[in-house]
Amino acid sequence: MRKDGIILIAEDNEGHFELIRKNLLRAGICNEMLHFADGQETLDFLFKMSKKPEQERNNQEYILLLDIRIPKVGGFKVLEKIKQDTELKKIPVIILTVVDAPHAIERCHNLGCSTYIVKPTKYEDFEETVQKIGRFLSVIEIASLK
Amino acid sequence: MKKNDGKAKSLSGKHKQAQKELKLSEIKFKELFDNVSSGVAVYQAKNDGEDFVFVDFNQAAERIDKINKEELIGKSVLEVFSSVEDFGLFEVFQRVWKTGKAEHHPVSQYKDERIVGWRDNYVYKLPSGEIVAIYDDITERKRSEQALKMSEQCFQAIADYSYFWEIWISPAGRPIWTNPAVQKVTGYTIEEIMAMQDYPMPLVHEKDRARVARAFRSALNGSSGREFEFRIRRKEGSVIWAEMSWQPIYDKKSNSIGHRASVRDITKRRYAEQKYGTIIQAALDGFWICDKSGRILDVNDSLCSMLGYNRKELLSMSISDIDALETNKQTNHRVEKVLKSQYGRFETRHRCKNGRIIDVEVSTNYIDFEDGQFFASFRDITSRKKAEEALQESEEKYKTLLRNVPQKIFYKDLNSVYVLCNESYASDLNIQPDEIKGKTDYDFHPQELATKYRTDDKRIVQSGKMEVVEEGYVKDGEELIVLTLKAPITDVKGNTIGLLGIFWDITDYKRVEQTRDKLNKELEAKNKELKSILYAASHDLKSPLVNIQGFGHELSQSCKLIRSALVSKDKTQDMEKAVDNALKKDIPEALDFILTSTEKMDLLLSGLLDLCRLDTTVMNVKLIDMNTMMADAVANIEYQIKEAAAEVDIEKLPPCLGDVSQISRVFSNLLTNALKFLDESRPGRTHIYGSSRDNQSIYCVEDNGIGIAPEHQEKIFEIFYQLEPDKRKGEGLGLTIVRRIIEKHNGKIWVESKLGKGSKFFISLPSV
Repeated sequence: MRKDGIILIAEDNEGHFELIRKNLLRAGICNEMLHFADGQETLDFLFKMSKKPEQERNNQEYILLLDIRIPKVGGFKVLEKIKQDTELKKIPVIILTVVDAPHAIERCHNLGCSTYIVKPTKYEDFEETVQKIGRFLSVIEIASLK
Repeated sequence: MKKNDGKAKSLSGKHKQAQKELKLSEIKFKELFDNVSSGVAVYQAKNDGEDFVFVDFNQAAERIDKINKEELIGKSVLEVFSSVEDFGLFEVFQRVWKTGKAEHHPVSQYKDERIVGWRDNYVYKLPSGEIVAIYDDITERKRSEQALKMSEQCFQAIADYSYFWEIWISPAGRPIWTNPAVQKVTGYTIEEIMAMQDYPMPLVHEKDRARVARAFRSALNGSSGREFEFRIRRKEGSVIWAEMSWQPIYDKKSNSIGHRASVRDITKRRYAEQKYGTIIQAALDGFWICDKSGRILDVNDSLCSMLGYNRKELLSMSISDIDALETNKQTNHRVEKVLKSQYGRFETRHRCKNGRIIDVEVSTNYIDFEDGQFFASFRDITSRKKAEEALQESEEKYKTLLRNVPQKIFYKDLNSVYVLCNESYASDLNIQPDEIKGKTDYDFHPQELATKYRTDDKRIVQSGKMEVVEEGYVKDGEELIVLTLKAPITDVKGNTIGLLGIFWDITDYKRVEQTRDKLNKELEAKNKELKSILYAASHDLKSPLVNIQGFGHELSQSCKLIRSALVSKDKTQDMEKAVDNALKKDIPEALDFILTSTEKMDLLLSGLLDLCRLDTTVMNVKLIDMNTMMADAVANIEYQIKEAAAEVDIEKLPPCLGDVSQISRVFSNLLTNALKFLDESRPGRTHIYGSSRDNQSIYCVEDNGIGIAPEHQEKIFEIFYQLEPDKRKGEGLGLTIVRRIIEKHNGKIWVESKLGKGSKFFISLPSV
């Protein structure tokens, strides 16, 4: 991921967002991070952006960290909608949620998520996980939106 | 005559003497002539034997021919006896006249218009030329001869054609005469028998010779015998059974002239006797013959073994010694009955020698033989009787069972027609059990049910398999549910012959089952709810916990930074900036998050506790005046209403049954929700109204807020669900608690809402 890639974080818990942000920073990720508190906001942003004329998008790289339990439009729906759009489906979606149920994991993968990560309860593990995500992000390549 | 006178005198004396002697002799002759018993007729021949005229005729002749002497003297014989020529006698006269030789005209019948009779004639010629006929009327003799001949012929015919072999034996024991039947019976011809040496031994079976010899000897001695049975060895060798009877024959002087014997072939009879005798003897049934007074005349072995007496003993007993059931009077009555109808069949009891009493079935027939006899056969039916008794007992048991068992039991034939049923079912149908025969379900039950029963019957009969069905049943107009067991009944060959049904009322049980099912469903729902609560709780509590832990860590990081800055000798600008940042931003932020999270957890836990308490709190149910309650609730949140710049209208509300504090909480919650989700574009107006329907009061809290999207309308009642979490304060338990309270009051809550327009929350509660 390029340094100018934008990390979209759909997370209803503000505290969680902050912790994620801090720990990503600690992992060396200093990309722009956008916070969306609910599914509706997330979709609005993405679809508005996808409708923008090409030059305004200028090859922007996006990655979405998505919690399933977000209000208004739920995480599954958001994932579904993104993966149904021809352009937006290129955006890798990493599910980051407390939900650990196997059927949720399966459903997300069926809908097309890239990865499913369960938020650990213990903070140390949470910290570590987020930092691992950061290191992961630093090595991956993303298809940019045209 | 001599010339001498003296001589002449002796001559005439001799002449006189001669004449006297002639006269005497004439008189003698006349006497003889008149008195002889035979008829004498004297004729003078005329015309040299052409005709003969009566000269004399004696008394006997007069008698025989019934004619007087005077009538015929001088007449021609042809005149008096017109048929004398035909008779053949005239010819004899002529011959005798010519030849002078005497002739005998044999016995012949003389017949003319006047007289008829049998004559035996002897004709001779007198030296004087007269013809004399001496004759006798032998008509009587002839008649008796003929009669004898006739009777002889009759007897001959009888003897010849007799089926029986008739044989006459001389006193010396030799056959005198025998009839043609001998050949049929013995195979020997008449000639062979008559010539048989050592008669009768050659034709007697070796084993019977001694007996026959004895009988023969006694016959020769003048005995009679009858029904003597012995075996004949026929000429060709086969053996037959014969029965003989004999009697001595005497002449007029009572001298024995031998004996006659009559023999007949009784092989068939003997065979029949043997056959029937064997049958009776070999029969398993006991058999006896007794006379009219009940005395036993004959028995077979089976009877002996049946009763335990031997033959000799039984032959000395009578019915009354054996029969253990009837008195003599009854026996006599029975005898009369059998006499009348010639046969009888009945059951009675016999006493055996060892005292044991057995049941017997009797079949008896009357035979009009000798003085009248009864032939009876007996079958020991003791075991059958015992089995019958056992069956009856068993039947009684089952009958009692059927009678008293509360279940309804019935039996139908292959066409679903009732054959019988027990008391319990019959009383349901208001009939006697025996009245059900011939009826069908259509006579008792509603058409639909009857058709269903019949269809089931058909199916079960065809499949041959028992079925247990739950089905409807109507008794006294009440609809019940019964459990029916229908089983096909088969005969020994395995063919279905009918249907047995048992059913009983399970309506109550079903009700209980239904209640149980309902309770189970409720339990399941509650469990599900509990699970989801636990699940949601664990997640929703985890979230703030992560924050607390996380920001706690952040705090410690900030503290580390400050400490390291404090102890550092070299305070760089970066370090200062970092410390400043930590003190001004990070630490407050962290603390804020920690506190918020703890608050959130507190709220959540309180809400959970509330929910739990809800189940255990005792409800104080009474009729609530909703108007006052609503007014109070509104008054309590007056401050929030003012702050939200909203208005609340309350219409007249019907009362309901419930716990005041809980119902109050419900509406407080709904009101606060309405205030929470205001649409910013217009002033909030909440409308509260209600109506009555049946036993329910229905209330509505209507707002003009932001409304609820359809996909959320159910979810809002879910635990911990928050429409707009961080923006509006709350723990997401409100509506869950509200719904729980309503449910506990046996009420209902539902929402109608349009996004952007507003929401209507409906609550129905019992009013009675």
